[in-house]
Parts: sequence; structure tokens; C-alpha cells
Amino acid sequence: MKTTRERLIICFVLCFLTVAVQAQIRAIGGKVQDVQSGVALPGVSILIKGTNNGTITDSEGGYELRTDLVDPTLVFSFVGFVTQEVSAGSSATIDVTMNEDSKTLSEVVVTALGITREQESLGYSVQNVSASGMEQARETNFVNSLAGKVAGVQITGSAGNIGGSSRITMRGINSISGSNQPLFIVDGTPIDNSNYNESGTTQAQGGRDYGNVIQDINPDDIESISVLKGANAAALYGNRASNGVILITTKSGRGRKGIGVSWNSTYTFEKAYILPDYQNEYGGGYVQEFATLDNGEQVAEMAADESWGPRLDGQMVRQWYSFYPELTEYYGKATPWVAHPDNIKNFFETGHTRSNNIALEGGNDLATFRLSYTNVDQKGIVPNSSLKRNTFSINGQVKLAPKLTAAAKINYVSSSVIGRPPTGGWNGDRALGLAFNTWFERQLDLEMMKNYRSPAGRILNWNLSSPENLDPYYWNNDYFVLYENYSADSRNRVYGNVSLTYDITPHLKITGFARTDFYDYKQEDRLAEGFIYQTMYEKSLRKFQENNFEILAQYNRELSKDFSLSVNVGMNSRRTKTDYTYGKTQGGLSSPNYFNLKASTDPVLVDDAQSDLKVNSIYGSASLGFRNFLYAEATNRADWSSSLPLDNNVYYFPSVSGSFVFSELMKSSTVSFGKARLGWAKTGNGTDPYRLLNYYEAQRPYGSQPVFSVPNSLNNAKLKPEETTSVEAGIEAKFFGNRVGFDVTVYKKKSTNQIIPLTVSGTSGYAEAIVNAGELENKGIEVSLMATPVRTPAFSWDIGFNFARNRNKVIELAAGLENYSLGSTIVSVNAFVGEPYGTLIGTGYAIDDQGRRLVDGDGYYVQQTNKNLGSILPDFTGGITNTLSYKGFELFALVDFQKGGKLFSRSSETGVYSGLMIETVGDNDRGVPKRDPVADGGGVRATGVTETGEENAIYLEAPVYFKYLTDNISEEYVFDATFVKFRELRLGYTFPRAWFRSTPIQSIGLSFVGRNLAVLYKAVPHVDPEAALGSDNFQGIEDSQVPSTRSLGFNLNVKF
Amino acid sequence: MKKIFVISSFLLALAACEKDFEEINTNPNDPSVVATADLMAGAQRSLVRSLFGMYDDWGIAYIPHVYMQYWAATLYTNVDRYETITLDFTDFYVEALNDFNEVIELNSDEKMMLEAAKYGPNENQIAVARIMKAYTFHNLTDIWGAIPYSEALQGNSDFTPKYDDQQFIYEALITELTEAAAQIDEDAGSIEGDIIYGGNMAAWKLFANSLRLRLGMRLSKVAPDKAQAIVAEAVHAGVFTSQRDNAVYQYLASAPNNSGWNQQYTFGAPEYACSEILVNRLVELDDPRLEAYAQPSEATGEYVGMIYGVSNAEAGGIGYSNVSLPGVRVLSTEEPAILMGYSEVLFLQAEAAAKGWINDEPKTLYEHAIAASFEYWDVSLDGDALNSYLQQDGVAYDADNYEKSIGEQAWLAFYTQGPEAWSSWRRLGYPELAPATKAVANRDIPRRKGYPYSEFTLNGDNYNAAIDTQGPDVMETRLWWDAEN
Repeated sequence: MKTTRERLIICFVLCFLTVAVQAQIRAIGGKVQDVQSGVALPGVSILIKGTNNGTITDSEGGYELRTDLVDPTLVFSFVGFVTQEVSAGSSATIDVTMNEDSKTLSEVVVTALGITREQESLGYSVQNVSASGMEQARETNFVNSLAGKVAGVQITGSAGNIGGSSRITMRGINSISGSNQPLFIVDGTPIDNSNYNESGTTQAQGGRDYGNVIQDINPDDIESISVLKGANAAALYGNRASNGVILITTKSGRGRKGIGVSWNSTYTFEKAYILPDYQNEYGGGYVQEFATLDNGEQVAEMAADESWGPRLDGQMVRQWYSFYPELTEYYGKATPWVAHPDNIKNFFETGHTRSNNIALEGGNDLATFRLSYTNVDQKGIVPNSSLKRNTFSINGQVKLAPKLTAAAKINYVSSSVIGRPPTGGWNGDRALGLAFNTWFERQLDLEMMKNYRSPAGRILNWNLSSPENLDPYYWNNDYFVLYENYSADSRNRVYGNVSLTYDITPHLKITGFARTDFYDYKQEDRLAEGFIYQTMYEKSLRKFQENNFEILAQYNRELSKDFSLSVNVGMNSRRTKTDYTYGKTQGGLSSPNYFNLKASTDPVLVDDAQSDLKVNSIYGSASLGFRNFLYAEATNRADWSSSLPLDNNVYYFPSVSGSFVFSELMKSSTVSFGKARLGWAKTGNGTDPYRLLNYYEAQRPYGSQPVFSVPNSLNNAKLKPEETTSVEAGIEAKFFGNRVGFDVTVYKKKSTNQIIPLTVSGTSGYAEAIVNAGELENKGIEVSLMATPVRTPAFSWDIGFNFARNRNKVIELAAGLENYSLGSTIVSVNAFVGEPYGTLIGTGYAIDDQGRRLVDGDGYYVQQTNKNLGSILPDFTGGITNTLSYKGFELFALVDFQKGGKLFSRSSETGVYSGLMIETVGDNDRGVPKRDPVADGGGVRATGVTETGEENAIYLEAPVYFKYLTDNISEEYVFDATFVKFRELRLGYTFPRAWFRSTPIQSIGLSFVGRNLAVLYKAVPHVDPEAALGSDNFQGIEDSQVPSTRSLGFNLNVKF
Repeated sequence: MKKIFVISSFLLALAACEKDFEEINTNPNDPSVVATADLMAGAQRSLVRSLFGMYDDWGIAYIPHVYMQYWAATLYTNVDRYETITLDFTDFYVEALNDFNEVIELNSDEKMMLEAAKYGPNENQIAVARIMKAYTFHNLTDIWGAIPYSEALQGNSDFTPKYDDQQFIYEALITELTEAAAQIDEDAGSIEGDIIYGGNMAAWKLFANSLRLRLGMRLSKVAPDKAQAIVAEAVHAGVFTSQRDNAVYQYLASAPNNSGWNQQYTFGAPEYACSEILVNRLVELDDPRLEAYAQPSEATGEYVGMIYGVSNAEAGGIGYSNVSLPGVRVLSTEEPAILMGYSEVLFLQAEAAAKGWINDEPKTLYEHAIAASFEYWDVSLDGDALNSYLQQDGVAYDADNYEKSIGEQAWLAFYTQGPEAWSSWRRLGYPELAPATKAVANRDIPRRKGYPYSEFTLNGDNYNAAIDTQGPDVMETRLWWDAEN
């Protein structure tokens, strides 16, 4: 790291030097018009070439700039017009007329290895995502900002969890059991995206969502994002490219005079916006009559955590707070039994996110730098939850000698979160709470519980064991849970690279990179005295480090008038090490609320695991261009991995592609651009270390007797990496002077050699066996459409539309095996041969041959076990963006959608079991309240037929009916996850330069921003259909989620 | 171009360097060699955990314990009402059985057996592992019927073992037990890592014989001739003669080695109380075990049984503080799990004597069996009190219906031993128990459990073949030895 430090010092020195010079300042002004109509053009951007000094024209097309340069060159640019450069000489007035552009400006994209290429030369699809919106309408996990913007990229967030997980998949699912998350590369450095959620959270058994660690990337520092969805685009990344690559380029300094300072500030408010439809007619209890105390007073069923109790009709009843002598106002008093319809809504607070970024940049002919600091301060909607994140980044480059350039890009991120909300219906011995959708009494007034300790310090609980026994029965006061049984986690991370480039000849340069990504991550959790389970403290410490050393040679040459050649050859050595230490107290804490591992009454439960992996690689690419319309490219990469058997540890990942720009030959005035492309590639998905040999597993000792066992998983000495081969073809075209365009890609992928910890019959002695088998297929189509219906100098309207449809099929598992279970709760999620990945299997309605539900002789639905309830994968996804610009205003709106995909909702299932949800009340088909006794005309009738085909006529008591349903027919709670969401809105205004001409301010932009504004359509009742359980493969289960949030606020951007 | 070529060659040479790969891929987290004693201890503990529960685990024994109506749920009466058909057996194979197998393999493998012999004679370690395997498999087949046995535990050479029928398994287990007992060489020395008998090989021999007695007696309805021979041989070979011989697993005071029931009752609301069937019967007989088996209710200080087999609402309406929870000793951290007790061996011999299979006095054995149960629970009665207990109606040995006498008293003695109580009831037909009043779908008291769902998906062909032979995968299907008379 010595070199890093030296580079940093140089950058700092340079940044101070550049401030010094001040020359004479003069003003240049003028007017910009359309050459054809003569109309003034507002919004044209004017930049003094080689500097960051610029402005835009006002509503009259006028502009004014100040500069100290003797002969500045002004660059005038405007969407849809040919960019012009005008040498100003010593003139004070420069008027300009601009020409509409009929030819495409060749778009430049960042491709694998960070090489920028002209889009038209690529034989595969690469999509750029503008980063400008992300720093305005912010997401704490920036991955969420990609939702709906890129065809074929599916993002599933977990909005209500502060700093929660965001799962991202591209072009479907490539790995049955391995990671399906893309590789993230920042400035060429691979960045880890692990997810350290508790197993409970990832298996829908309740727990906290700690989020995936890619959220450390700061949107303020992103210059551009390039999404390499397909195998061709990503093939150069070899054995971890199967799931695509997200390439992020961070901002760097630009040559300019003086120091440019920018301040970007966002303040948003978050509100819970998807809450279940709760019933408010009946309160807590198992039966509709109150019990009575010895003195004859009615008493609520406080030990119940269900809402099948008496009607909320205002009767006087002794409720939980009347049993605490210290609550003198209520003690011994009966109070009215009434509804509190907004109890949950009011429980969730208004969250806020405050983000501030200050960046300094500057540079000259020899060096450039950018220094940036960002502070994010977030308060969640759940009481006592907050997130803080500080990011420092420095990005500098210096020419040490005419042919030698050194660069460094270093980021430091420090984040900490307090009080990640406990999610899920139930979670072993961990903090549990927020069971409002699952185990709750509807009449409870949470406001009464806010002061969760009585004046005497006693914890006030609603779920009392009995009037005599005030110990909580199942549930604690939620405020006590959140304020005293909270998690805390913090991460310190450094990532970046240093490099040295030597230009051997004008055509050949060689660069050496040293890259790193390392962090330490601490998680703590605790259970305080008074919790229904034993007091507990646990702590985990994780270290992660990945170092990459790379040498890259790049050769570019026009071979002749017709041919151009570009060759890249590289070598990389990667070393990834992890270290995990965990401790959990046993038998309770020796002293109440002494949260330390030393407080463990019994020996501490420990875990200790390390891993080490080395991958050496060599790779190269060659691309040949002919007369700017025919291009061919071939790449290859070899990876040697230490985690594979020594005699068989090298794998090759080749690709070939070609493109044909047919518009070059057509010379049509209608078709402004047209290209066809075709590619074939093979990519891989690596293996974890230590999966070759069998080991014994240490168990906790029996007294002083050590205990070991044969592990439940059987390793495999002949492991191979997973491979995905892909063919993709595409056509893109633009018409009518680029006013309308499309880009269509079709692809087909085959993923083989699947490394599957195959769940096998436990009767073999093992629960799973690591095998190399199986095949997955994905095929799909991606469509992007763009149109500019209106383009006048004053006003422009751009529409973007993207759509992707992926069809996944599990072709084969290991021999003789038909199913691989990804996990199960009330339903299981499976990879079934012949079915799409993620098939939900559970109990369902038995139906007769006419499709009618069968009902047995007692009036219950007949159950069909092991019913296929559909796949969690969507039919298609997409988004629509609209951008309207009028003078200084810009309006951006994004609507995204998903069609299909199944979701099992525990909120619905358990919420109905417990009588919390709206569907458990109301009238039955006889017009009598469902909850009235069947004898009085109440109850619910199963709508189906008996075995003999007659309509069922038996009514069941409502709790009996609903509990039978929830316990026996999980199909009822599997929903279509289709949604249409109004995802993002930005209304920005760039203030006219004239307003602050006499100040050092160069530009001011103010935006109103909103994220997750509304769900325009959803089919799942009660909850948000987006419900990521971390970022693992076990998905499609909504586990009593924390409600999603709507975020509204303002962004202010000032540049000096 | 030439430069590119030179650079490429250089890079290739660098990349292919893999000198340190083996070292990098050496697992620092788990050992590749361990003491067989540590595997033996782990296997015994796993078995007990899966069957009787440990630490945060209920085990599965509580389910037959509830079916046998010792306990009734205080709120969620799902088990009492026979709601769930399936029950998972895979833990037994993956954990205990596979580890017992590993002990046998390490003691048999030519390269490994010398290392293994550090923890006791190879033959003795193998014998103990075989006895424990037989014990585990008989418990499994008694719950599910046909199960994977002959092809089980073969790892990657067979991920879909076939199901063997119960008759085959019983015959094989009896052979196993006979061979294992013969394999024991008491003089060669004890073994390490044995939680149950502390390496005492003579005790293991008695346990093997006593198990053979138990298994032999199971066949009394379906294969009386065979049963007679097995029982006679087992008794002849030598079975338990005192409480000292009991096969018990000693729990320890602290987690994770404390009893599962202890853990369940220490944290969280008590889920089960003693049923009114048990409490009323003990009260009726003035049985001294009442104070060991149950606690007086928190609210009244009286022994009050919980009503059995009712709806959640009805059960929840009572409240656990108004009924008798299981006894303090039953729920204590270290109260051992009983794999097989002296009292049971006496009951089995009483029955064998009643059938004339062994030459002994059934009534005496029967009364000794009851007294042994009292003794186990530290509630022994002195001579007169014992006599008046033994001679009262409902206890006094009835030679004409010895199944009733033995069935009812064995039931009282098998408290905390759910699986054995269930088998005894299924075979003898006593005590007469009525199904839960609110039984799901009007089900009768279960006679087996359904196979785990995972077998349907992971071992489907064999699962289907098993139910084709055995009968539908429901709880009413009778097992082979449980044939209707």
C-alpha cells in the first residue's frame, strides 16, 4: 500500500498548487438560435473547452460566461443538434446558430476491462444507465435505483428494511444453487456483494435483514453504470461472469482552472405506504365472549395473540393496562372495548434520509484529482432504527513522465446501523416483534405502550399470561423489543486501485494494476432482561479481502484505410480471503443487560471459519473493424482456480461476436442508424473452497468429552466450475433523425455442470451431496424502444420503454433426481425438472375433473398435497420512462412493472389464521356476519362440491373455517406478484446563470424527488409484491414484511 | 504484434503458476482425522436429541407421549388432535446413524483401525455402534413401518435406498443384536466416548439382550413361535437385573447438553400439561408416582389434569396456571432420557411368563415391575402400602386378562418414554384410550406416522413401492407387528 499513499500525497499537493493562479477575468456573452427557424434556443449548454466552466442559455437563448483564458474555445451542445466549437479569440460577444443533427452521435460505452468502445462496433448488447438521477432520487441501497431502467435486469428490493437487501438478476437464473448475483466492478476492481443475513431471514423463518454489501457504493461518486447482461459482454471476466457484470465508473477530476466545488444535498421523508387491510370489528381472544374475574368484571383474553375475540362494541372490560398497579389512572378500571383502526399506521414513524456530498475537483495538463465526501444519515420508519454512512473517495491521476501515468482511485466507507427491524412471523430465540400481520390483537392501542416501562421500571406488556400472572405469554411490548433488544452492525471498507501505465508506442500501452477490496464487518444482537426468552448477546466479526494484481497490454491501430485492429492481453492474479469469528452467550447473561460475551453463564457458543481462494487468469481480446460497418471480435480467458482439483483446475471461457452496421450501406434518409449483431460465448461460475475432500465437523462438547460428527453434506473430489454458453442476436435501429429507435435482443443460454449441494434423501446418511450435474436453460427477448415525440428548442419529450421476457427451465438435475429444494417454509421453493426454477410446492385445493373444488362430508375443502403452485419467476418485466424538458425544467418519471411470478404471503396466511385481516369479517353468502355462530346463520361455507358433485351446504364457524384453510390449503395464500409501480419522479429546475452572475456560483439545480410513489396495480393483498428475502435464491415468500416506504424530498445541487 | 506475443507468453507463464494451490485449498476449519470416541459420543447424543430432545429441541418422543394421553396441550392442541400426518425421520439417518456407521468403518478399515483402537478395542467399539444402530432402527420402524434399512447410509453410492418391510428389518435387527452381543469381548477392555454406559462392556451385553427381549416380544401377535424362541434366548443370555443396568442417557446441567423438555419449559409458555386421563388415573389408584409425574396446579395447589383433545379455543380458555404441569424432576435440566429401563424388562418377562415362554411366575414379575417403576422415580412404598397398592382393583394381576393388567401398568410406568408406551399400547390394546374428542377429520388414535414429504420428492419410487406394500401413508395404517387380532 506504500504506492497508494505516495500517489495520494501527490494528489493532495497538486490540489493545493492549482488554487494559486489567478489571471484577468472577462465576460463573453451572446445568443444561440436554430439555424433553420431562427428561433432562440434555451437550454443549450456552453462549456469552455478543457475546463469545467460552463453555463446554459436562458429562455431567450442568451448566455454569459466569465473566463480568464486569452483565447478560449466555446463548445455549444444541445440534444438533437450538431455540437459546435467556436474559438472566441478576444471577442466579448459570440452569437451562434446551430444545426439539427441527422446523423447519430456515436455513443461510447464502457465494456469489459473498462475499455471504452463505440457502441456501433459491439457485437453484443451493453446498456448504459445514467447516474445523474441516482444522486438525486436516492436509495440507501443504490441497486434499487436500477429497477425498471434496464431491459432484462430484475431488481427485487426490500424497501421497508433500513439498508436492506436488494436482489438483482439478469436474464434469468443461471445457477441452481450458486450465486445468481452479477459481478460488480468499480473502476476495474471487483467489489464484493456478500449478504450476511441470518439464516432465518434467508429461509423465511424471521430475522433481521442486514442487506447486501454492494450498498457501500456511493451514488454521488458514480459517473456511469454499464450493464453487461449477456455472456459475450461479460466473457472476459471468465469464471464469475455467468450472471452478468455491472461496471461502475466513478467520477474523476477534469482539467480546469482553479478548484471546482460541488455540493449535492438531498433530504427525503419516508412513510410506510403499503399496509394490510386489517379488520376493525373484533378484538383479541379465541372466543367472542369475555371471561369474567372473580368479582364478576369482564376481562379481555390477554394471553391470546389472535383476534377472534368479542366484537368491538364499546363494552366495558378490564384490559391489560388495568392490571398494573403502578398505572394508577387505569388500575382496576374497566375501559371501553373499541377499535383502533390506525394503531399500526401510527406505530410506524416518518423516516428521513439526509445526504450531503461535497466534492472538490481540479487539474491541469499533468494531473487531475477529485476528492469527495458524503454523509448519509437515515432514520427508519421502525422506532429506534437508524443508519449512518460516511464515504471518502479520492481519485487522482498524474503524468510522471511523458509516457508514464500513475493513477489512484481509493474509496473509504464507514457505515453503521442500529436497530434493523426484526421481520417474520417467528424467529427462534431472537428478537421478535412487528408481528402485526401475524400474531396480534386488533384492538390494541400501541400508543398506550410507547412508554414501555412503568414509572417503577417494570416492562408493560399487553400479552399477559393471565390477570394474576403479568409475565408476557408469547409477545413482548414492541417498543421494549425495539429499544432494548436491538441489533447493531458496522462496517469499515476500503476499495480501489492504483495503476501505472506506460505508453510503449503510440499504439501500445501497458498498465499494471493493484486492486483491493477489504472490509471488516461487525454484527451484534441482544436480548434484554424481560424478554420472553433467555437474555442473550451475540457478536460476529467478519473480515473480507480480495486483492487483484493485473497487467494489461492494449494495442490499437488503423492497419490500413479500411481495417482497424484492437488487441488486449491481460493477466490477473486474484486472492480472496475471509475470516469469520462468532460468539453467542449460552444459558443467559450473568448480570442483567451486561451485553458482552464474557457475560455468558454457560460456555460461549463459538464459530470460527476462514476461507482462502486463489484464481490466476490470462485473457485476451482482438477486434477487427472494416470500414466502420463490419466488426468482428474474439475473446478468450483461462482461469486456474485453487478450489478445483489440482489435476483439473483450468477452464477456458471463449467468445466470438460480430456486428454489421447496415445503415452505412443504405444511405437512407429514414433509417438514420441500423445494426445487426450476433455473438456466442461461454462463461463460468466458480466454486467455493474446501468442497473437494470430506472433513469432520466439530460439535459442542458433552461436558469435557469432545464431540465430532460426519457432516451432513458430502463433498466431491471431482468438482468442475459451472458453465454457461450463450448465443445472442440483436438488431438496433434509429429512424427519422433519431426520433424513434429500437433495440431488440434475443438470446438463449444453457447452464451446465451445475454445482449442486443436492438435497438427497437423508436415508443415504447425508442431507446433501455436492454434485456437478444438471442443466438450466434461459431464453428470452429484450426490447428497448425510444422516441422523442416533441423536440423543439424550448421543449423536448423523450420516452423510453424497456421490456424483457425470460423463459427459464430446469432441464436436468442429477441422475434419478427430479427435484432440488431451495428451501421451504409453509410452501417449498424448488427446481423441478421440466419446470421453471423456483416452483412453489405446497398443499392446495383438490379439484374434480370439472375443475371444481372438492369439499368433504364435514364441509371442509379436500386437500391436495404436493401441489404445483407455480413459479416465482415473472413472465416479463420492464419500465417506461418519460423525460420532459422545458427551458430550465426537467421532469423525469419512471413506471416499472412485473407480470406474473408467484408469491406466498405469510402476512395473509397467518393474518387470516389469527383473524387480523379484513377477509375474516363481513357478511357471509346468507347476509349474516361470518363470525356469528352457524346456528344463527353465520359461519362460512366452503364453495365447492362434494364427491357426488353436489354443492356443499355445510357452514363452518368462521375461526374453524379460516384456520382449517390456513393450515391445510397454502394455495389460498399464493398470489400473483404482478405489479405496476410509479417508481421514480424527479422535477428539477436549473436556475438561470443570470440570477447569480456576480457570485462564484456556477450553477444551482433544485429538484423535487420521489421514490416508490405509488403502486398502480398489484394482485397480492395486504403486502408489497416485492419482498426479497435477502439476496439468496430462496425467494417467492413474503415473511410478514416491514411495510414498504414511499420517499419524497428535495435535492439541491450547487456548483462553484 | 511481436511485443504482444512476447507479453502474452510471459503472462501465460505467470498465470499457470499454481505452486501454492494445494496449501490454499487446505481447510483450516474442520479436521480430516478425529477420535472415534468423539464420534461415538456425538452419535449417542444425536440419537437422544432426535428422539427425546435436547436443549432447544423437542425431539419426536413427545408426539407419541401426547398420543398416549399423558400430556394435553395448554393451547395449540394440534398434536392432541392428530392434525399432522407426517413426521421427519431423516435426522436419525444423517446424524446418529451415519456417525455410528463411521465408527464401524473406522474400526474396520485396515488403514484406520489402529488409530481407532486408541479409544477401545475395535470389536467392542463396533459392537456398541451396532447395538445403537439396532436400537435406532427399531424405533424408526416402530413409528413409520417400512423404512430404508439394508440400502440406507451408503452415501453417494445410493441416494435412493429402497424401503425394507418391517418383518425383514425386525429379523435383521435381532440378528444384529445377537451378533453384536457375541462380538463383545469384556476382557479386551472398555471403550471411550460412551455416554450411556461409560464404556462398561458387560452392561452393553445386557442391553443388547434386553433389546432382543423387547424386539422378540413385539412379534408376539404376528409370529408367536419366532417370538417365543427369541424371548427365551434373550432372557437366557442375561437381561437387566436392577436399576443399575438401565440404559439411560445422562443430560448435563447446561446448554446444549440439558434436556430438551427442560429447555422448553424454562423459556416460553408451557405448551403441555399433564392430561386429566393420567392425573385422574393416578389419583384414583392413589399412585405415589403422581407427585413425580405432575406438579400441583399453580392456581389451586391441587392436582388437576388438563382436558385432552379439545379445540385450541377450549384449551386456551383454561390457562396453564389452572392445571398440573409435568413434574419438577421430569422437567429438570439433568433428568436422564430412558432408552430402556429395568421396569420394562420385568414387564416383558411377566408377559413372557404368562405366555409360558419362560419358566417364571408372571404375577411376581408383574409386581416387581411396578415396584421397579416406583423405585426409579424414588417413590418406593414400604411393604404394606405396596401390597395395598398392588392388590387394589385395577392393579391386581389378572391372569385371565394379563394383557390388560400389564398394558395398564406398563402405561403408567412408561411415562416420559413416549415411543415405547405407544408400541406397548398398540400391541397389547391396553389401556383403553378414547380418541381425542375434537380429532381432526374424526381420526382415530394414530398407529403410525406418515413419511416425511422430502421422501416423496427425493426418493419417490421407493416411497411409492413402500406404500404399495404397506398401505396408504396415513396414521391409521397398521404396521406389520401391529396386526389386528
